[in-house]
Amino acid sequence: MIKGKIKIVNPETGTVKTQPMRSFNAAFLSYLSNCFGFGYNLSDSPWSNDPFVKDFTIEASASDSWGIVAGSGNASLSCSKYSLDSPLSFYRGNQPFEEPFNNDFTDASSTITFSRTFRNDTGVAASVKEIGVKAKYAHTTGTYWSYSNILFVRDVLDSVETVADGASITVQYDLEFGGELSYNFARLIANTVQSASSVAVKCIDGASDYNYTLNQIDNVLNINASDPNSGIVIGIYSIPISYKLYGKYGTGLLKYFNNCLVRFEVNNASKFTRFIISREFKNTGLSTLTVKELGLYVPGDPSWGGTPNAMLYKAILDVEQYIELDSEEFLQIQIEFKTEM
Amino acid sequence: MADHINLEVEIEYIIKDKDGNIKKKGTIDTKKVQNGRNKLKKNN
Repeated sequence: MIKGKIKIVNPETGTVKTQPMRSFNAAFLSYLSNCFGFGYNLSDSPWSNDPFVKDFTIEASASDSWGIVAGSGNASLSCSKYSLDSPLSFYRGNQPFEEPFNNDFTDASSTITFSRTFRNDTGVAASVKEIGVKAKYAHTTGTYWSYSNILFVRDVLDSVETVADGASITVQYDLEFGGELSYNFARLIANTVQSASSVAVKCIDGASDYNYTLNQIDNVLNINASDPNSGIVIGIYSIPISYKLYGKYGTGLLKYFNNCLVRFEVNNASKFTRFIISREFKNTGLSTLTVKELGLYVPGDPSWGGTPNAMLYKAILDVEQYIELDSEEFLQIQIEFKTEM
Repeated sequence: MADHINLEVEIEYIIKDKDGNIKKKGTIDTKKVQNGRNKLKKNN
């Protein structure tokens, strides 16, 4: 799971306010499914007519309109909101990743922190009621690539933040990655957050750290294939190492069918978005197989040889949740990624 | 400040016999799942 937290620091009033981040918009899940190679296009998003998108980043300079943004609108949250209600023309800080910028990628927890300072140079006091995180991305319909922006996150503040003329506020986001998402997942999201960074991802051989650089996340996570080393995988052991399945069943015992996108659903009435990826396996051996672990592999970048692969997700099942698969039987695993406001 | 979970992962599975008939459907309770990181933290 991911838990987000927002902090608003107002030096003039001496206040520090915190509240939960409540909104990953549908665009974020669309981005994630795109990373997995399914290229889902939201019907009413800016990339609806552009089948190919890449190079997502939220890192921005002062002149850039993407990155952390602030506005004065307070329309209620909606999965399909792709821009702020009413953006403010504040001067934006040159780097959204001012100190403290900390990527705590320990094996026990992963937290990404990023922030941006806004200065009110409009000549009058202003009210900040909404904030968000906007990403820049490249898209094409064929021949040429061009860039657009889309809002991944939008929140309405619990209380209005008044910023006097000439005063500044700092907006900080903390994203905590926990549960069964491996720290590789956090590292790859961080790669999108800060495009100039080089993010080390621990590969499944346990010995290699590969440094993903500028937006390789958009190029390497394609699991849309029947490759047994790419996508949903299942295994036999319960060894608590997050970067690999020690006992992954091989093709000698299993037939691996294609990974596929089963559903992408935007539900504005209930304020959730989800997508489901699925894979089917067949026990081609003569014995019963016991599934005790499952995970999500992403393939290596062809530019560095394609292997070793990295693991984004690992779950070790409790004993009562073991799955027994007899000879000649089929097993379909569905993994659902869901955001709720 | 109450926490809000922004992204959750849920897992379901279906077992079919050799003729494609559904034999069992199940949900894996991810709250009971141990991942490498939590186990390491616990052990440490």
